Amino acid sequence: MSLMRQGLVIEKLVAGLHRQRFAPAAAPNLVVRWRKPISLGTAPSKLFRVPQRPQIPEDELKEIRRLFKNYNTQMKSIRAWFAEELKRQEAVTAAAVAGATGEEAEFQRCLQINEEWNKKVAAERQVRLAAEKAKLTDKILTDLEQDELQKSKRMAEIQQMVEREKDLSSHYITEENIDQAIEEALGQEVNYNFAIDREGNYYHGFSMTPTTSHS
Amino acid sequence: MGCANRPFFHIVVAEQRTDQHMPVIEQVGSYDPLPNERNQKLVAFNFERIQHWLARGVNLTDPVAELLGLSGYLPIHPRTYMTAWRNRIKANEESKVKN
Repeated sequence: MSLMRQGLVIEKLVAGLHRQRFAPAAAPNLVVRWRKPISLGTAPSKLFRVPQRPQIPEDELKEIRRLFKNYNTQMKSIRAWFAEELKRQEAVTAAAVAGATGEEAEFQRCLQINEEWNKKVAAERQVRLAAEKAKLTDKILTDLEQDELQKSKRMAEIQQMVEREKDLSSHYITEENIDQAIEEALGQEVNYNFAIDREGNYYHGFSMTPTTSHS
Repeated sequence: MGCANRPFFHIVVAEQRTDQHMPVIEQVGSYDPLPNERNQKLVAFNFERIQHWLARGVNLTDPVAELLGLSGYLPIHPRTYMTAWRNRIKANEESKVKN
């Protein structure tokens, strides 16, 4: 009993899953009545049910066949006629559209106008481009001149610097005269411990007499 | 279309394999199977479009073919005759039973 109930519960669960899976995704607002999907199979109670075949009398069957044969023949001819009619109509409308509007001539006229415009614009463009090119070459040339000028100025400055350094190099302390320089430095001692007044006079030590140099 | 216990049909051109709730290609008519106060079942057809689609080779479902036959646009469908004579036989038998 409990096994059966379990089976029923499982079946309901499966049905629920199917309900989720087969909900129409394309039309979410549409409410569709729940139907058991065919993949669940035949219900156990209906498994061995054999549907009755319809019993149609012989003469009735004959009559039905005759009617269907006639109907199908008629339908075939009607369909063929419709198809022909469609083809004919399409041909007529296409010809009418092409003839009545004169599309081709209009297109050629438009093309001609377009070409004229293109030529005019091309001439204008060529003039403009030539002017622009001349301007650009001018600018490049002047820029090059300016560059040269700048460079020569800079070289002159450098030359000046070098000259000055050359002049100064006579006072440099080198290996030859280092002993002499040391002697000189030791010989003239400098005392920075002094006071100064507003006139720029120096006062060394405790003396109140001003001197003009700080040494 | 319609709702519970109130059928109402759109006659449409649709892809044969699509679900009935999916969007259709074109609607070409409607059919109200419940008789109105004057005992009429109302059908509407766009014959121009139907001819167009028939020329393109669409298949008709049996009920729509029957409706088109009854409307006089196509030949009467055999199923119409079948239903008629079966109804006639049934009525005959019922009257016999009453008598």
